[in-house]
Amino acid sequence: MSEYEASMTAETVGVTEHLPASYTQKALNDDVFRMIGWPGRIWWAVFILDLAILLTGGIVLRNQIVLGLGVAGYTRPVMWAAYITNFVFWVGIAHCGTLVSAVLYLFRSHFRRAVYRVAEAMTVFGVLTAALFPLLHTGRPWFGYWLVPYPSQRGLWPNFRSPLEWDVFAVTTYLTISSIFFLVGLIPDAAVARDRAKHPAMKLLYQVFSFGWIGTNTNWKYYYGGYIFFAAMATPLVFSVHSVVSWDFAMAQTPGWHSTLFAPYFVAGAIFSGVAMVINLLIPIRKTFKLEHIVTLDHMEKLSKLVLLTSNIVAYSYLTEFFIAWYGPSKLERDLFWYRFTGHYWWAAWIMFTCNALIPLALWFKPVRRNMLVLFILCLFVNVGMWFERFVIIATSLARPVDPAVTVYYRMSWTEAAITAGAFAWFFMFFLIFVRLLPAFSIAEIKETLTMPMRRKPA
Amino acid sequence: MSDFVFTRRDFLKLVGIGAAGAASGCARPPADRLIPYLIPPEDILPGVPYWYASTCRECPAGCGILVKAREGRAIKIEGNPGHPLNRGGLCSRGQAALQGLYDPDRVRTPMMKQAGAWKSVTWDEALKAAGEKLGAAARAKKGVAVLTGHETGSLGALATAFAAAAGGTHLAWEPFGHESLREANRRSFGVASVPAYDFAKAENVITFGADFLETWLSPVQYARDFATMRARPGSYVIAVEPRLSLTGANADEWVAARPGGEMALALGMARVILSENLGPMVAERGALLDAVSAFTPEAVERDTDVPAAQVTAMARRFANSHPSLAVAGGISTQSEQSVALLSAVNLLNYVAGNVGATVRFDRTQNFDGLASFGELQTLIQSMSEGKVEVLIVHGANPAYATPAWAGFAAAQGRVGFKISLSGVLDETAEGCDLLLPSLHSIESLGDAEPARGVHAMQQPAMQKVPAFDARCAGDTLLALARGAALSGAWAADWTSYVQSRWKPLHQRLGGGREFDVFWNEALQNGGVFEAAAATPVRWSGTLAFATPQIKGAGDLTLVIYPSPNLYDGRGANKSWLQELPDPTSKAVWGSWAEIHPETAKKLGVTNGDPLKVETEAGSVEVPAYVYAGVRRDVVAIPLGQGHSAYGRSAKGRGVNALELLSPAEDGASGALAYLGAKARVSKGAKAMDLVMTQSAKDQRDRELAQVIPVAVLLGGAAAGEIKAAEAAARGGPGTAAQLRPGTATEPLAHPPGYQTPAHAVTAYQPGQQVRAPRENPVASGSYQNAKHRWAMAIDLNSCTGCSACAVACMAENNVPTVGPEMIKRGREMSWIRIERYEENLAPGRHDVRHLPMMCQHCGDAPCEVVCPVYATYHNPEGLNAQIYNRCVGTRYCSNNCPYKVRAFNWFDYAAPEKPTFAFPEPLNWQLNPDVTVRSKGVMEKCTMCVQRILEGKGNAKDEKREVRDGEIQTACAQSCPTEAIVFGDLMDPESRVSRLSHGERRYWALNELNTKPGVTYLKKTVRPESA
Repeated sequence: MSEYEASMTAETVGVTEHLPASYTQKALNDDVFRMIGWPGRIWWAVFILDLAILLTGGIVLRNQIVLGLGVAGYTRPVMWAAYITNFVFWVGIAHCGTLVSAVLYLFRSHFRRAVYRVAEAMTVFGVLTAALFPLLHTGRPWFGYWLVPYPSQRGLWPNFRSPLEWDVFAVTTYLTISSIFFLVGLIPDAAVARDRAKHPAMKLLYQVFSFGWIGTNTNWKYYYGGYIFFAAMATPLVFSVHSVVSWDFAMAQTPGWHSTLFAPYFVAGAIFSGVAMVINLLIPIRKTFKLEHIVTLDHMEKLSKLVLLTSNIVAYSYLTEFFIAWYGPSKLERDLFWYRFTGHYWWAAWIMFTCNALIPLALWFKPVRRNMLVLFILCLFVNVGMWFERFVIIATSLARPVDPAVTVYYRMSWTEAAITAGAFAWFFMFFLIFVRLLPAFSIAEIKETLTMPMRRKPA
Repeated sequence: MSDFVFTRRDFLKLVGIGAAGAASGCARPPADRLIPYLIPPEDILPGVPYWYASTCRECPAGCGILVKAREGRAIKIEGNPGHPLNRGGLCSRGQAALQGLYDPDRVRTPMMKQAGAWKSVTWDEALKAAGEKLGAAARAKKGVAVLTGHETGSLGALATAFAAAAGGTHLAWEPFGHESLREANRRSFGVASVPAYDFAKAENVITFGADFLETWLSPVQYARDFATMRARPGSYVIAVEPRLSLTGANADEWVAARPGGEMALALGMARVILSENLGPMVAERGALLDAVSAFTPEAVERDTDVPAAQVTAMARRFANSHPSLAVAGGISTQSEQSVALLSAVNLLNYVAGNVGATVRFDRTQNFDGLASFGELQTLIQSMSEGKVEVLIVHGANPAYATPAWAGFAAAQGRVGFKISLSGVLDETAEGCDLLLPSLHSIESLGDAEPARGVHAMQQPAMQKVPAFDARCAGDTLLALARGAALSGAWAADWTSYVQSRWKPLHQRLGGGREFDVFWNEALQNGGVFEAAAATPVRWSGTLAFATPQIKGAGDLTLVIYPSPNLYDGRGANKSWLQELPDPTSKAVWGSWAEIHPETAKKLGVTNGDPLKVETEAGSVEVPAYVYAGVRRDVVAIPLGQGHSAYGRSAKGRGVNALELLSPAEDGASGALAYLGAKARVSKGAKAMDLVMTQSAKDQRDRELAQVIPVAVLLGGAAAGEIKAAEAAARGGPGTAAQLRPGTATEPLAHPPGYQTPAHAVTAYQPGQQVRAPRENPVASGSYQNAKHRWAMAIDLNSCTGCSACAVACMAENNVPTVGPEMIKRGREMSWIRIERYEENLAPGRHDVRHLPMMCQHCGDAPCEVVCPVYATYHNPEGLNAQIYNRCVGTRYCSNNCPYKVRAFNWFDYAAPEKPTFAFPEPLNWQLNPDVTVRSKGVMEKCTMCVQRILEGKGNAKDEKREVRDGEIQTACAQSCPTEAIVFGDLMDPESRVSRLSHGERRYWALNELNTKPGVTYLKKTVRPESA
């Protein structure tokens, strides 16, 4: 047993022992593996609906590629809109996984055990969804690979000064690390799945995921060593990735974008939306699969406190932005912020402010935090609000250009709506497969909280 | 090279490499359309443009043009610098003539109407049919009428001879024929001509509704003269008109007299001058004073709403400025009493001593042979009475351009056989029986005399476009004459006819040269230009003054004005002109009605809401444009739209405002009364679009377009005077926000005794010491060796907002037009736009600023750093280059561009198989082979015509010399009638652009963003109110 493990069990016995003493390791295995298997009718109905939406999005995307980006609602000056909003939204969503698994792991916040697998899966799928948009929003997506620095005989390199180029590195790095982290965490559980699997194909699949895990002491030693190593590596990414994404805007001199506040503001917002999304995913899962004893109200409450904290940071950022616009010397900035809340897109700005700053204030009250229905709806609001936050930052800033002669308002087109819906479908397609294929809760880590059967006194 | 040894080994290596390259197939499949020069024509070198001098036939002004032909195709039209009228500039309409040449809706073969449907026939069949009808009609003396447009050369003579031989009449008619102007001059001075107006000399210009910068007479010539005048700090322009036109917007002061009150104002001013004895001695003073005695300033105030004191002040300034100039006769003021108005203005010019100075009868505009609207009506009358058996129409479209009450269309139906020589199926051609398509003026030989002494040559710049089986109108007329066996000796062909007409000219001006030499020189120079002696005139005024009645029910006066882009409507079939924003409203592809904000508020309408405009004659529904530049009691509608035929760009767009006119014409001259109807305006029912490229005319304190009071500029004035001048400029009649002089209007610190030369307000300062060129921001590495920093200076004082540059740019750079639906969604592709900012639009000292905005070629460009693939980068010569085939289309550059001058290819405008194809055959013939046609998904923008820069540098290199200043001109700079855009090299301290960029009026748009633009703007000057 590693030093870390020892410290953990010694400290936390009795504190996080939320499962009944009679709860056996087998019962845990059975509970978690109940989710895995040939899905029922409801799952299929949802899955087929999801694929239909995805297919629609795909057809619309094909149309857009063939005809040109003009089928989207872009105007001059609003040359980025729904797609980049979606990109930032999904990158933001993707932030929570790493936070929960890596940062909270390092900080020994043990409530993460029950939720981190879902959060990590969400992260990986979120990045996969986000990565769609930088590509499909370009005029010539088939040349998207030009952004990748590769040696060519023409000696052409990408422009390393461009924030979009930084994005390429930030997002690919994040995808790599979060995927590795996800897969490493999965190893012991995949081994259990492998041992339980009956169908040879499934056995083979889990064999791949379990990386030949046999549960020896050496296995465990290297596993935990590796895990903490990856946690340490992933932690800075929580801050760097979304900072880099925020610089897509902050590095531009467009009023409303050009701000040093953006990096911390975006990171807080990302965690905010990510945690809200985890809550939105966990509540139906624990309800559907009757896992309330594994993901307890205490766990959910702790997550909701995280939502409250980040909401307050985000609200503070809003006010700071506004204050600085007023306090600062730039006429353009002042004009923009006034416009943002009173101009053409005032409704979007107020949706953002209400959903992100005002509604989460209800989380100060314990009954709200512990009422799953209310919490679910509240987090839905947060996600809507965070989508609009990105829309407001991107679209309203562009819709109020420095040169007032160019003002044509952006309206989302059906193309963009279909592709946005398709992106959600893309995410949920992965997620729906995930919950029925891989253990959605970390059996190995939850088992640490169970009473060791050998140590039980004979009755 | 002498020590270069090509060894056998090297040879084998090269052969090997070449073979390997060919074998590996790395070359792309060759383009499937190549120039098929199996046997190359001797006089065409691929890649080398040829320029043909010719004459523009898009309006009666007849500017000289140079047509650029590449590989036998005309691809660009520019003004002819050697032409005495336009001197190198050309307006948007003239440049768009190319789209008439390559109009995909041009008639492809002769056509005959059978059972109401057009059917293609051969020329032989068509001529035979026409000859028979014509011959029969001529023999039976049943009446033959030939109706042409403004033909001042051989074609007019031929048409007259033809009509005479057929026993019929020839009528040359123009919608804007300025009949009243000629009639008034006949009455005042005994000369029925349109005089030469010298705007360049005038110190004070008052225009009574004459839009001399837009459509009136010879706008390019006047724009050039106007710029010369504006270069003098003392010059002052007043626009008297109920609706502030583009011309009015360029004036210093707007006097919003009551519609129809212009005459009273002119007479009131004349009375002040006469009674105060301000003008030169005139013999008829007593008689004249008697004639105008009723027009006291107070009476004028009653009739015109212009305060009496202002009338007096205007008159005093007018008389004390030597010389001054008053002009009138714009279409929007053409009423039943337009001769009276023009006589009054003649009187004003006369008593101020301008006749012979700025109003001269030397190089008179040639409107002389034109029939009046009244004469056209006589023809219509005989047509409807069945007295005309054969009607031949060429170059006129009366079915569209006359109001319905004139009854042309109905009368046309009564004519036995109608022949149209039109190249396009316009409304008049649609009503004909036989269509004998004529060649476009760019394909055909011709001549014209647009002004006295200007014998202009219209030279074909290319073979006829093969898609169209058309013939020269002259040849067709000759063939018809022969086919109908009309008596007389008809020339063998049109060319020899024209040449025979030039023989007398050769004898007079040939100077002993052979005719062929003389002829070729005329072709080369675009004509023969001789000085015109002034016809001496004296006042022979018979004064009959009457104010026009505005008739009908309604609160508002209907003002109909010609569209600066579409003229009388003949530009409507050209997508460049349709997509060119109207200089005033910035609307495209449609009609609109301008109403005052208060009227709009009363009706509860805003921009783009449907507005129903009713008069006694009819009603139309148009989108409203709320414009503070109209009087409260006026609704103004532009002409030019509402075509029911005339091709895909024209048909079914907007409304024809002529439908609103009740029968009215000026009895004295036979001119159609465009002004004279009252209108009722109410909220309309149909939802409609007003598509504008710039909806907000407020610059939100961004100080993009800046002004500077002249007093500040003239430095040497005492600080107190400057303050007073600024205060006067700020606090004139109107709001406090009238004048925002910009950030840098502080007087420059000059040494004591320093006197800024008066020409500091001009665009050109020959003697001024200049500093070293502005630091080249990228001067490291290989960029250090750059020899040039290309840059531009744009003089806002000269820019009139006419938008000729925008069309020049579209023609030069293959910019597609995208149509109203796309414009509505902000997808215009134009690389240059004229931003219009209305700082103050109240009558009085208004403040309208025009700002040409294109890529600023920033030294520190925001777009360059953000492009992830270097598709936009800074080239060593200071250009912000855009590499289309490297562009991925992230559009980040546009987001980061504070000037928003980048256009994105949202669709495939260049792919013929796509529905968004912008160059339907043969419009694609116009494409400039030196410029890439951009594909879907890439960003594009102004390149400062890099292809022209390369051409200029190449020419200099061929001649082993440096590039000369002024040798390279961008398309916009070349076309600018006022030379407001100056292009050149900042590294050359002597270049014009260097001088201007260091001038006292310089500023950079959005300088606070530190983008270090390569485009320097020169502030517009604000003139002191008191003379």
